[in-house]
Amino acid sequence: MSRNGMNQGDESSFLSGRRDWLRTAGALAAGAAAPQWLRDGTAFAEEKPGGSESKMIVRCLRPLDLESPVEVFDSFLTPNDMFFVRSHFGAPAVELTTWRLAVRGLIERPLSLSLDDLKELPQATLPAVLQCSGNGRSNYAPTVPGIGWGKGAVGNAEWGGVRLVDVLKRAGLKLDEGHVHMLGGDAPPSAKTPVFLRSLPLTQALHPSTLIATRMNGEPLPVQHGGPLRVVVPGWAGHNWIKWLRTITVAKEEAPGTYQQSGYRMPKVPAPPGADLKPSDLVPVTTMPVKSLIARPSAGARLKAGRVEVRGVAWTGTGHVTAVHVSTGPNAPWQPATLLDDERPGTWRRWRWMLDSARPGRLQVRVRATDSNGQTQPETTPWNRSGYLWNGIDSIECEII
Amino acid sequence: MIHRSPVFPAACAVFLATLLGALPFAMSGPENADREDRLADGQLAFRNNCLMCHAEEMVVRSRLTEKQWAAEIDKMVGWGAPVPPESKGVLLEYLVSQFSDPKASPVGPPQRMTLAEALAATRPEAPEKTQGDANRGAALYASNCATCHGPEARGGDLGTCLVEKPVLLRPTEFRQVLRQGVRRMPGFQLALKPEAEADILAWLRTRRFELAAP
Repeated sequence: MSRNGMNQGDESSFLSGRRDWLRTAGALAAGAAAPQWLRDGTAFAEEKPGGSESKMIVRCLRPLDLESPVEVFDSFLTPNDMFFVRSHFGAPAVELTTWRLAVRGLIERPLSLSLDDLKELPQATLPAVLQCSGNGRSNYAPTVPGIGWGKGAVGNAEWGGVRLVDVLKRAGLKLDEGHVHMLGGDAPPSAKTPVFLRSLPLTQALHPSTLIATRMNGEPLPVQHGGPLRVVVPGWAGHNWIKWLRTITVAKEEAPGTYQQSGYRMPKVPAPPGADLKPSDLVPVTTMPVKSLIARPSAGARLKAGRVEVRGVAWTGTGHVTAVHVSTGPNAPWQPATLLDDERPGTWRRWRWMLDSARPGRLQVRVRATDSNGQTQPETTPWNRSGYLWNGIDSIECEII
Repeated sequence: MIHRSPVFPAACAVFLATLLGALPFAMSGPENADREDRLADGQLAFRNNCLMCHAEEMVVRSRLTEKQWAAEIDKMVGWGAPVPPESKGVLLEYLVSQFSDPKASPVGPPQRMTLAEALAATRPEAPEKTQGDANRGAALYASNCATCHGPEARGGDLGTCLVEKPVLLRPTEFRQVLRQGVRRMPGFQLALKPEAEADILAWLRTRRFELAAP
């Protein structure tokens, strides 16, 4: 298990930033009793009582949809047992099956790979943010159908496995342009329900950071997170990270069916509720927009007057986060936060900012991130009918006592 | 016997709903009696057809307009939810009455649970071996289960897909559902012996979810 296993396939380019999160992962693996944020040394006076921060927020028990409490995001890596869970049809009974990955379609050699076969391919490991495309859906008004996620359908993990490009090369790609269809082992509840079949454009499938993961934070990939095999597409929203991956098919066209052709699409330009949208007005949801969250203090915290460190994370879908600003009210000036961690695409960066508040009373804390493409979080995200890709400015209210 | 028809006598529906829990829409006066009956029928349609696949909180925590709920019902019926056409109206009326107005049926904060607690409901209790014979199970499945769950167990008009579902890893729960039934599924306690239950489970465990190559 292991720390050693975790080190295999490291890329030197991000060795420098690894120590912190290795330590975090080590502590997690050791099952340390106190959460990381409690051991970080910052004192919070009179936090809200109760141990609910160690419990997931239940959005739906069947199929299982669990949201992380934001306090979990006070570390670089999100522990596996506090990482959000989402699926369309629920985890299959993977224990019934000797798992194999079929590769077929427009390739020279159809493959049926065992988990041991995958171990023989070069191994890669990288940290990446996984976020449900519907994270933050509950912020949209008017309300839209779908799981009413708050802030925590997101997490950052170290994913280990093989590069999808290596699997496709072994099968012998026959085309330069096209799509890779991906199907998991989760059967829909009715023969009339569309299968959760998705596809990636070949350019993205061939990207060296696109993985078929077998490990998560140094452990075998847990079943609830897609084990034994799930696709990892850093920078892209979660519906592309197919869980329980069983079949990949190379084709000229995008995947057919509801979940590729009409689901997970957004209007090219924002359209108000009730707008009549044609299929040609819609584009697939791919990369995530820039976003940040406050992990500490907790919303509603009662804080002693004086210095309190405000902390959180920020990420984006393309490029990296270049700045995070914090303000203490709708009209207060934006002040720069200190950024931690590497300028590495696909993962997140932690940030810190010292709040120095002498006056007792209620205080709003707001955070806003900017990325290397010059994109900054908007006050609110334009409404869309499925509630995708919310990235409005995060805020919490605390009380200074 | 399977109640495919939704047209229970209204009194029967109210009685059933009372058994299932107090109706949240108590009203009085003869002018409301019809509506009360329709809402009771709608609630029954919700329990029979929606809760086959969804946990209640997914719907109970939603707030959608009548138009959005109607679209959801149509989408789910298209995807195999066995709502009889004549029940769609009462189902919609029930959903709108409870889950449109933010002030109706207020809900508290969501449940909190550790991952282990949440998984306890779906993952294996302990990987249990069963002694069933899959060949015998195939025939038993075909004669007892295929009408509702489909010939390949991929889900049929009234029963959900059983292929690679976690209940197959939980023989105790599997037997309990098979014997006692659940929602519209009748219990097979009198029809199937314990060996037959094990045979059906053994056959179901051999089924795999696959798509034909394009």
